[in-house]
Amino acid sequence: MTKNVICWIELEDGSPSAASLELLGEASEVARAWDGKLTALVLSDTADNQAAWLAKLGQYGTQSVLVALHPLLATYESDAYQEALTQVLAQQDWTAFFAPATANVADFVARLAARLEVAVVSDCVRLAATTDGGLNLTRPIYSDRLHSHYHFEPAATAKIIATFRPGARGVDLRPQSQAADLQIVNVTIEPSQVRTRSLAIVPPAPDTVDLVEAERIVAVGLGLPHPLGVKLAYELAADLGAAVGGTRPIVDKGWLPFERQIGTTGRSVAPRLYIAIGISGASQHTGGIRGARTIIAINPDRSAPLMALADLAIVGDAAEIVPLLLKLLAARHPKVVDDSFVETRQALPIGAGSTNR
Amino acid sequence: MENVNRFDVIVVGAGPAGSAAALVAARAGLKVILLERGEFPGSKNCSGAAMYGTAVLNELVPDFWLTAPVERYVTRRVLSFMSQDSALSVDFKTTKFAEPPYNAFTVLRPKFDRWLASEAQQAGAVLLNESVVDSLIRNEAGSVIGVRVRREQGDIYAPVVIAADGVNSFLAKQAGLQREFKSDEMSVGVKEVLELDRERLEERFGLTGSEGLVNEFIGTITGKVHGGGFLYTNQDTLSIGVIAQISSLVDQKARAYDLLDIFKQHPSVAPLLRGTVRREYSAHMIPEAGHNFLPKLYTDGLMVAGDAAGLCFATGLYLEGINYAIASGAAAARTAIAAHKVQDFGAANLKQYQTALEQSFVLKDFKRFRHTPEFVNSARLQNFYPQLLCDGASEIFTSKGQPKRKLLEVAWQQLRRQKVSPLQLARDLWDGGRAFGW
Amino acid sequence: MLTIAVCLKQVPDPLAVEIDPLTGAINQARLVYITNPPDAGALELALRWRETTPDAWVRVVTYGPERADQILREALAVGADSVTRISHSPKRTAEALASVLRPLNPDIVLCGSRSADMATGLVPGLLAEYLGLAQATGVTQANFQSDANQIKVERKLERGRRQRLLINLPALLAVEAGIAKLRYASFPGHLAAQQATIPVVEATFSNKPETALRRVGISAPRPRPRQIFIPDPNLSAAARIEAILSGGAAIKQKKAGPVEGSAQEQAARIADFLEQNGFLE
Ligand SMILES: Cc1cc2nc3c(=O)[nH]c(=O)nc-3n(C[C@H](O)[C@H](O)[C@H](O)COP(=O)(O)OP(=O)(O)OC[C@H]3O[C@@H](n4cnc5c(N)ncnc54)[C@H](O)[C@@H]3O)c2cc1C
Ligand SMILES: Cc1cc2nc3c(=O)[nH]c(=O)nc-3n(C[C@H](O)[C@H](O)[C@H](O)COP(=O)(O)OP(=O)(O)OC[C@H]3O[C@@H](n4cnc5c(N)ncnc54)[C@H](O)[C@@H]3O)c2cc1C
Ligand SMILES: Nc1ncnc2c1ncn2[C@@H]1O[C@H](COP(=O)(O)O)[C@@H](O)[C@H]1O
Repeated sequence: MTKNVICWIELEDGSPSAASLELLGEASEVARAWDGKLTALVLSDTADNQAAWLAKLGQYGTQSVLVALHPLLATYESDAYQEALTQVLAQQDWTAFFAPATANVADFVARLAARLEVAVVSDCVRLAATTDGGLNLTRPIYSDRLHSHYHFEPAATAKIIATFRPGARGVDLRPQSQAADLQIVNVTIEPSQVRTRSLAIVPPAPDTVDLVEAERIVAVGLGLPHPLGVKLAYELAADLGAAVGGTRPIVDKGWLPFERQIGTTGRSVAPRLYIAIGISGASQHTGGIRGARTIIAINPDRSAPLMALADLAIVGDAAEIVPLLLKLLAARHPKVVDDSFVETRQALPIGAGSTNR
Repeated sequence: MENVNRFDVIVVGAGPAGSAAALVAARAGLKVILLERGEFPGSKNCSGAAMYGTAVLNELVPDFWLTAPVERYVTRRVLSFMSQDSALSVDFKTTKFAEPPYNAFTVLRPKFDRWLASEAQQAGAVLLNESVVDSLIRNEAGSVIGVRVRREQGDIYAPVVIAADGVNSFLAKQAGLQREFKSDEMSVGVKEVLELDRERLEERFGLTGSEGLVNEFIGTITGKVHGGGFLYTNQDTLSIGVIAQISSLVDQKARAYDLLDIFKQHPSVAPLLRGTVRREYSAHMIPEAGHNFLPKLYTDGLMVAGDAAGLCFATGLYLEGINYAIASGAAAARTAIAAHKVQDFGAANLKQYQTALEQSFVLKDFKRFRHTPEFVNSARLQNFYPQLLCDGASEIFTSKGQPKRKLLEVAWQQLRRQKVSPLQLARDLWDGGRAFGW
Repeated sequence: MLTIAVCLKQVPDPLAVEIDPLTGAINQARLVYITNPPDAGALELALRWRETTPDAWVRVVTYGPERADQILREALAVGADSVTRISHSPKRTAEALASVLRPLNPDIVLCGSRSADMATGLVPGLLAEYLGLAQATGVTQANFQSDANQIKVERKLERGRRQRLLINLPALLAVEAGIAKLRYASFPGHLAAQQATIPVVEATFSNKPETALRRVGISAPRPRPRQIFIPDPNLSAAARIEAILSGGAAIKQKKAGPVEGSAQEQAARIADFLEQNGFLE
């Protein structure tokens, strides 16, 4: 008996996210073992990008792409997504529904499972099909220090929902290409059903981004006096949408909290951009930035170890250079200031299906 | 909220003495609060111990071994005399000790203390952790009527307070019941808990099931420092430690911590510890001076119990405090109950507490063993006799291709060699006999 | 009247959890139990909202064994108006909580985003569904004005982004640990809480059929083999190794070596570099 798998595809700036593609790798193996079909499910307010989705998702083993269209699906709204997913899944023939364990999926998945009366396992790091149509699921517990194992019985009508942790497998590098068909389904969502109203997606701020997931980091070391160094790091980070980190002495002195320490006794980071100001580059520090893709270092000492690692090694005084850089950046790209988290007192009408992005 | 800070009895310290007191008082229907400075009862306690005199606890919690977190019952007791490189041990093993109510148990204090406190809670006592008592509150007449906890609005009132705050009791001193200790009256205990899987542990110490071993050591383990060592088996851990007199530590410029390391490396100890992993380390003071040292046990509105009253018997050979603590805590609580009946909390009425202890094994033991500390701490017992015994044993057991001599003959020769007169020996034997109740 | 319900779970303090690296066995004897950290933040939020709202009530529930009374006492000590323990049969948590919360008719239900031990993060969503509430999860900030029928919320998205939204009451929020630090109890509060009697109630469950999911067991984590990048064989050995280590993402150009210049030149050099490499989109 064949059993089908549906994967939810999260869109980032209109195209499938890396976490979704990664999940397709895991899901296609399950579908193959079950001799079933792998369908990708996309929720969107527009099908403008459908050709791109098809091409991309086909590359990752998807046989069919299902697009649920509704204007209320432009931005993630818990109730709207919930409703759309419930409707689509109720119509389809499937045994397993998988989704990447992202913030939005974590928001809808339990509720969806309750509505469909289906078992759910969250944050799995492994989904391994058994040939009799069962599924073995593994999820970390106790802060990833243990693995808990589940078995889904291959009963005829049983269904399962699972979310899969991004990064647990890695995006398949040479996936099985596949010709995929596209099917648009319409869903009905009443604006009155939507009890939340998205106001904005706020870009990362220097101290909200977890260093481990930061794509950009500005790190500060002892080379600059306090509080100038930390202040400059924050300003530059705010301009670039980066997180702030520091060396151990900076944290030891209490100038940054511990979760901002980078290095062998702190966090290991893997940003796309890493800017170091006033950091010598001791091995205990660089041990934590091995994953950094592009490194810029500013240091008057051209022989500091970090200068040798840097893609751009700027010899000079960061106290002078960074303020000039901030001016240049401001001139080239005037920043849109978002009026922080202040209270809106007037009761805003909700349910009108706002689509601000 | 009106009366939340008024109780019938305040007990300070949730060690064995305090928890036993709270348990007894709460069972009698009194409103009891048990104040503990640690995160939980036992959190500050040296970890492993052997609990002797199980009858006391059995009286409070019948068949306690069925529910209490005891590790093993002791069926094997070893006393080892140590010299630099040898040890002579007296090994006593009996199955008689393997039957209820058992003779002694090994326990891990954090678990055990927590359990006993929870028994008190179940009886209705209110346990307040992380509450350090800073001082006593007295009325104009000078009677103790409450305590002050180190928190804002931290005053708590009760007509009677039981101070069970352990050795060096701050409350007993504040009440003028106890003087400052001299350093030769105090010992420091350093202890570790070592992990060893159950199977290997049982095989190594010749134990089966829940049988346990207590081994006490005396002699050169502690070098010239007066004191002794011990090793207890728990379920899957060993408790090992040394106890050393503070004054002699100072004299010898030694650190207790180093003594434990030296002890662990002794050729007759090291093999017992092979393959173990250290799990906990702790150090603690022990009053050592026996009955000569007992403070007055009560004053108006206050009684002291357990180590706070100096009711600990620790000489390097014997290490007993838990049973005295439980017995004295229970006795203090009974006195508090009686005092509530007549609503008289004055010293004259609380004297019943002292009388009760005098009639029980607690103070009887202390009188009997009054001289032990002096004897045990004498240089001859600490260093000379163990050396003598080991040398003698070595002489006897060493194969020299000559006819073996009789034990006594060897001993006399050793004594002569070490210039100990027969008179001195006789006196020591007499002291020893008196000290240990032979 | 405003009813704020807070769901507290008692969990082992992660710092005190000892795990045998080979067998994965947890040393039960040494566990120390605490309030799940984000739940403590939820409680603080509730207390703050109560302070600014007339006729508001904070009602705390937990579904747990007798030892969980302790976290309820702590909640009483900091000022919860009532606490309830639902006696435990360790299954179907959300249903148990819903059966007790439903009659309270809460305007706001606050949960933690996930529990420190099992970390499923499923309970809040299930509970919201059973109670028919609007929901927001991963909440890092929340602003509630007593005269509003909405809460303004920020929720955590990936890579440090946040979604800002308004949510209608009645609503359930699942909050992140950092949202608020729970206040300390006053000593009299603490004393009173230790003397309080904790009400214990039974949950009612629907007779839903068992699902086809079975928990098999727990083990030490076994890392799965990761796919590695296969580099271009035409590259030098060093470049190939670098390519593998960086997952093939960066096949770096030759580094230029330290560059000197005036501060103005250096600043411009950095700005240009950022621009050329797409960091100033
Ligand atoms: C067991 C152990 C673990 C450790 N773990 C970590 C760890 O996890 N993370 C970590 O970071 N460290 C760690 N360290 C410390 C590490 O060895 C270094 O001491 C530390 O990283 C140095 O920090 P720094 O670069 O900020 O300071 P320094 O080494 O003092 O470097 C300051 C740099 O700033 C430069 N400078 C001076 N003036 C200016 C200016 N005006 N503008 C720009 N630059 C200027 C100097 O030329 C110098 O290169 C660990 C050490 C030990 C022993
Ligand atoms: C190394 C070592 C090994 C030992 N081995 C044994 C053994 O094998 N067998 C045995 O029977 N005995 C042994 N003892 C002795 C035994 O530990 C004590 O006699 C016993 O613990 C006394 O109990 P207690 O309740 O009087 O005091 P404790 O157990 O010391 O309890 C006192 C309690 O009061 C609390 N407290 C103190 N001050 C305050 C305050 N101001 N406010 C609030 N709370 C306070 C403390 O945190 C503690 O929990 C050993 C002692 C040591 C040091
Ligand atoms: N047994 C429980 N009792 C009360 N609340 C709970 C319980 N289990 C989970 N919760 C709530 O649900 C949140 C998420 O937990 P979980 O879904 O188990 O990760 C917790 O932070 C609590 O607020």
